[in-house]
Amino acid sequence: MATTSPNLKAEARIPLWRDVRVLAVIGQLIALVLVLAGIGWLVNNFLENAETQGLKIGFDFLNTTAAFDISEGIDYQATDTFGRALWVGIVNTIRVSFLGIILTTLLGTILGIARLSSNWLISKIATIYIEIIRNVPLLVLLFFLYFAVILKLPAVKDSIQPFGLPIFLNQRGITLSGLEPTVGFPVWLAFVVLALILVMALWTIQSRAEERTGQPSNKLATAVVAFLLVIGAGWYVTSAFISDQAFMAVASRNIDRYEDFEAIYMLRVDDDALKDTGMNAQLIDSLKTPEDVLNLQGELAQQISQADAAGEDTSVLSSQLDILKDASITVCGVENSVGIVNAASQLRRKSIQVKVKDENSIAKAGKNYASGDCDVLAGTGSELAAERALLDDPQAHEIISTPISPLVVNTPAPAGFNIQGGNKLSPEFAALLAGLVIYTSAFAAEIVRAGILAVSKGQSEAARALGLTEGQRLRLIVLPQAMRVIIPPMTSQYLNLTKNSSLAVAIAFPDLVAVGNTVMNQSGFAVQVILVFIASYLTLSLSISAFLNWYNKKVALVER
Amino acid sequence: MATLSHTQDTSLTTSNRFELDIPEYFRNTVFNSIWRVVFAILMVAANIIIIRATFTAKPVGLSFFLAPNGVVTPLGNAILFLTNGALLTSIIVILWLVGLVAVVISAGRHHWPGPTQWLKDSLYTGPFGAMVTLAGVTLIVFAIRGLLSWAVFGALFSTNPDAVKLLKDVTPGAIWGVIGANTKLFSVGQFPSEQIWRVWASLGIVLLLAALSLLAWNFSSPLKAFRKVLVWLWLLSLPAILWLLYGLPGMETVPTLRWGGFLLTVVLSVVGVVVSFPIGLMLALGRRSEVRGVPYLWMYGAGLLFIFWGVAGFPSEPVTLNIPVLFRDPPIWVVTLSPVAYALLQAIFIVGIFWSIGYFLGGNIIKAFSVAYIEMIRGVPLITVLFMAQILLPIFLPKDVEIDNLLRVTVGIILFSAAYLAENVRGGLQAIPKGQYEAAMAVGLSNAQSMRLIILPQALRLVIPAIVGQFISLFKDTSLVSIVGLLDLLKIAQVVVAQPDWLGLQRETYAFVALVYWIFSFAMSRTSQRLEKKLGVGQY
Repeated sequence: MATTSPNLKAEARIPLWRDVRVLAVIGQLIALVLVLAGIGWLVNNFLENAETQGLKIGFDFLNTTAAFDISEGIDYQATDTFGRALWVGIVNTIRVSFLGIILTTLLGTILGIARLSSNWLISKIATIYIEIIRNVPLLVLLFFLYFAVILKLPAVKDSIQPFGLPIFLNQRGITLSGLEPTVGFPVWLAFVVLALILVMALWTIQSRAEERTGQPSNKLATAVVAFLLVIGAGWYVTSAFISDQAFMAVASRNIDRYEDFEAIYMLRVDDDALKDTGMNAQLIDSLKTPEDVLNLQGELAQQISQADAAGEDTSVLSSQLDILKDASITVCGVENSVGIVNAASQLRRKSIQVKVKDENSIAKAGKNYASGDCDVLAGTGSELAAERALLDDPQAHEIISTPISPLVVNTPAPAGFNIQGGNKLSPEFAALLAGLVIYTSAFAAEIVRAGILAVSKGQSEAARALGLTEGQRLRLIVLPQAMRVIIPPMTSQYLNLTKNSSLAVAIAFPDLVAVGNTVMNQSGFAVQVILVFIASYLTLSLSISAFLNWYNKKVALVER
Repeated sequence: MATLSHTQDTSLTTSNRFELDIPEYFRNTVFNSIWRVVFAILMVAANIIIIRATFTAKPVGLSFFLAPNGVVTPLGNAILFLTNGALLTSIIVILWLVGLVAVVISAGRHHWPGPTQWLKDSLYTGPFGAMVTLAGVTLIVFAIRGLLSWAVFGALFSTNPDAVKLLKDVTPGAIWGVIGANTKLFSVGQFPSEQIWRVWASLGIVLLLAALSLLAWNFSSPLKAFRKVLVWLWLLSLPAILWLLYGLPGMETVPTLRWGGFLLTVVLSVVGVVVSFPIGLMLALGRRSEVRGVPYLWMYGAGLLFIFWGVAGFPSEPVTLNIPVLFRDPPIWVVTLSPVAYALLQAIFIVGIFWSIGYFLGGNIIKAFSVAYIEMIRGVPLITVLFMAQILLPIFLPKDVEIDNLLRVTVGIILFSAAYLAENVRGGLQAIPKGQYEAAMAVGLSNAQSMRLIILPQALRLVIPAIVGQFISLFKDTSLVSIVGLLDLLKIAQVVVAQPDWLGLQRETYAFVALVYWIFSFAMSRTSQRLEKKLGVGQY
């Protein structure tokens, strides 16, 4: 437009049909008409086809009952609506993408730094990893991980436990320890917030003092100590005052007194059956505590393996071992509830063998308890009081208060043909997460490497010349500059990861696309479901890139 | 390390005396910080665990041919001896110690003979580096040993299903027969056996053209003049080959249902890139377009609105809208609007789109369409584009048009690839200095001429490596068509694993498929890097 001003006269003489600007506008209008006509044609076809094939228009199907199950995700039943089903899919997509992005960043950074390592071996290993993973399709990697690795793991009872850690790998997925928040958790969280405020205040005060006096002070140590003190005090206070919220009820049918769970457990050891197998009576009498039982079990197992090696008969020994293993306390409660986790961990701490009987409601668990299927009912105080009132002889059942900390460690433990407790990752989820992280981290590693290489050597040398320590050099000089180069391409890798999570459909993990596919088949609303796909992924992509653009602006070089 | 480099500096006075204060060295590198001590203890512990595990590693598995009926053959014995865990671990530890001693002695004598300097710089970089090297070498050697044990020593290579059935339980490693017995499926799918010559003929055409091109481009041969002809031949060869595979007139047609395996993978990726190239180029030019936009664009929107009302009628009854809102429960928002409110909503929607094109993009409609298309396709996963092509294409076309599944999926791949190609080409266009545009204008070339003769030849040369990269990723992405039911290489693998003779051989099959994809992708990426150097990209 700026070019128009000098010689208006000359331009005025150009006839309309040769004026580039007019032609451009006309061309664009023609394009507009063509595109609109094309869209109109497609919509017209759709309406015609919809009439003949009985396709429906509108989104009201989101409110009709889905009538299919989803294997994992947030709370959902087959009686819920299609809309709810799609929402479960979206949450699953977000969950796997979020975890994937965090793990990819970690692994990618480690690999990127490893590629730059001065150790020849380490850098070669990282290079080979990257070159192998980058050139294999993600879907093939996913299939390999799912069908050829995870589904080929041993059955549940032969679960692999790497290094004896409480991690169980088997065909049905991966079970890890988890932390369960209990009733006291919100109170403790308030303490954590308080501690953070205190740390910030201390940090500011000490920084000011440093500036005023010029004397360095140990800010970090003070902050850490103050933080730990406050949250430790909070932990103690919460456990002490909110402990009466979790209870266990103990059946008194077979036992006179409930001093201790150990006594109940010891009564469960079948002395007569042991005597029948010909075990030494003195040995049986010597069994006083659960630990004794455990030790004897270990001895018997050792004897059995020795006898096996010598080719002797082991039937007597193994029947004795079975009798000892039968001795256990059964706990009834609501599946994956804090009560059951707490009860099991309390009992295991006393080396008492525990069997857990899960139900999905406290009423069902209470029925099991009333019919004598289990010795202990675990739940909150009010639940147990209500259940006790329903029993034939309420006085024969005691409610025992147990201390409960704000967070309970939910440790998995093998129990027969299953693994009890813990956080379970399904095989599909584990394969998808592992595949996405392994694949994307190879690309992320290259980005991190390029970012670090982009910071010129002079910057590091200058930092050293100023006397900064290695940590300060990385934290204050190299990383902030590398970040600028790293963030834009890393954003597109995060977006790729989120979009690639849609490959879940190939291994039947119920993400948005997999659930949407089922909805499509069940309801026939194909166009609408695909619109939901597009809208959801565009929203996800836009939010991720908006967040990272904001962050990028924060770290970007401020020019002029 | 500080001491090492320090002693090296004073190596002017080279003597054969050993002077290295080892306690001082450790004081400087390990014992100067509590974290380093903890880290050192952890590393020593890790090394001890690794070495103990490898020292007592189980012997490798031997297949039936190396140990028939449990009796190990001499060759089997030799393998068992060479891969013995204790022997291998001892060799590694001894070699590591020899290297360590060599480095320490060299450091003490300030003299670095042979490879000791390299060892010090790259494997024995301080106490931590040396420990990492030991653990790394041990792990790598035993990983290779495990891989060999599975894939070679313990493997069964017979392709006879009956023999495999007998030996399956005594074979500790891979059963590669599943690959050997299905080579035809993997390479061409269910292509009729008597028509396979067409695949060979196609391969022959490609190889002939490749040989001619090599001659024409690499040497100062008389073929140099035919370069243009060769380019046209390459472009023509694609439809010719597809036609040949499908069946020329007078030949038996091979329905696309029977195309499969690696053949289908290659066809999909080549057609995807070649056909999407012109579309991508147009989109890139559209997105870069700087022509003057249509002024007062919102008025056209208003006009369109009146046309719409003229055709569909002005809303006269209250309307109930079901708007999907996935973030609430129930996930739908039901609003009933009065006719006026509904009309207002329509007006805001239609005029709003036109107004925002006018406001944000200066009324440039071409640019608006290009941006909308590129960003929408890039914002959604390929699999949804494939679903769209497979499910929506038939719905949105006239009902008497029938397109086969392969064509539908190919359209999806082309639409997807075009958006990414457009962005690559745009990168090339942006890299051309402004002076080139101005120079073209100055010599009086029209817009189209300057694009065709000046800008595009340079820009496309710049983006060739990026396009090869995109071809690689498209080659990998074609594996997704297995989800929508095409029998590509990956789907064939799924089919093979389900054959009654080869049930449960997922490891072998998927490892093989991964290897095929890897070989081709890796070769192409190396070629692309060479091309990049040859074309001098990034050397402005």
